[in-house]
Amino acid sequence: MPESYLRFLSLAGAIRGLPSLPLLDPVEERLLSALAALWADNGEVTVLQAMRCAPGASPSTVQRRLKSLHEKGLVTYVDKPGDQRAKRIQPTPLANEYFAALSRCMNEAVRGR
Amino acid sequence: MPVLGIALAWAILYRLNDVWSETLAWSDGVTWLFLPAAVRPLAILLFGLRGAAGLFLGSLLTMSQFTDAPAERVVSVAAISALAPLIAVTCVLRCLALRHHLRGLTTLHLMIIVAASSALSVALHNVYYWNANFHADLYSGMLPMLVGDLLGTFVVLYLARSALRVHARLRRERRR
Repeated sequence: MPESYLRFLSLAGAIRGLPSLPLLDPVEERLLSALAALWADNGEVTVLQAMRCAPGASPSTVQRRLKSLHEKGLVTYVDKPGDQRAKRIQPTPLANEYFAALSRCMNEAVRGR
Repeated sequence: MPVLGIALAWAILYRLNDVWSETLAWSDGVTWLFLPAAVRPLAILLFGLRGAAGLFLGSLLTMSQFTDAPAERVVSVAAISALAPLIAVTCVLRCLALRHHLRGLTTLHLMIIVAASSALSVALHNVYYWNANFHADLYSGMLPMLVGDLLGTFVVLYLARSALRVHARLRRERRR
């Protein structure tokens, strides 16, 4: 095997290990997981429900984290038909991709790859 | 073949850099984002002396085609562009005992190599520019050049990482 190719393989391995910026902080991650459970159960989640769903986080913390999740493109707000005051929180395609990636990682870990 | 490939990669990134060179220029030839800098350590890591020859040729071509620098400066800058990463990478690889096919090269090692290559390149370029009265003093050009080299290298490395990830994902999907 040519030496350059062996060098390329080592170099590609080192490049793959470059650090990524953290997408979510731990509170955002916990909130998003709690929201995912609510979405799976109810299909829709209001802001009020979201404020009660994250254990150990105050309503104001949840509100701030919802805002940052919205800014990061992971959740979106939709008006509830017939009630303009209540907004529903919905996952974006990016959030669905995030959950799909986590599922893939778990499947691969279970299969021992 | 690698010599021409590296020269071509250098020339393409040099031209691409022209898109923002006016906005991000610190002085003539020095910008706060210099993409071709990434080619220097990568070429030497992959191809050693042939990589240095490619860097020399690429720098020679771009300097003579896209600047109005005199021949003496073109050759000197091209020589520095090729020799600085060659010396830096060789020394770091020797210190890290990574001479055999780069086996054991980690991301941290790569960062050290990139930093050493950029630092030596910046130092030698600035000594030359100051000596040739192209820069008024020895130090003022060092920071913008170092920032430009490091930023440019990391932009290219992260693009390479994205390409490797896409490649791995496509391969995984093909296997399913």
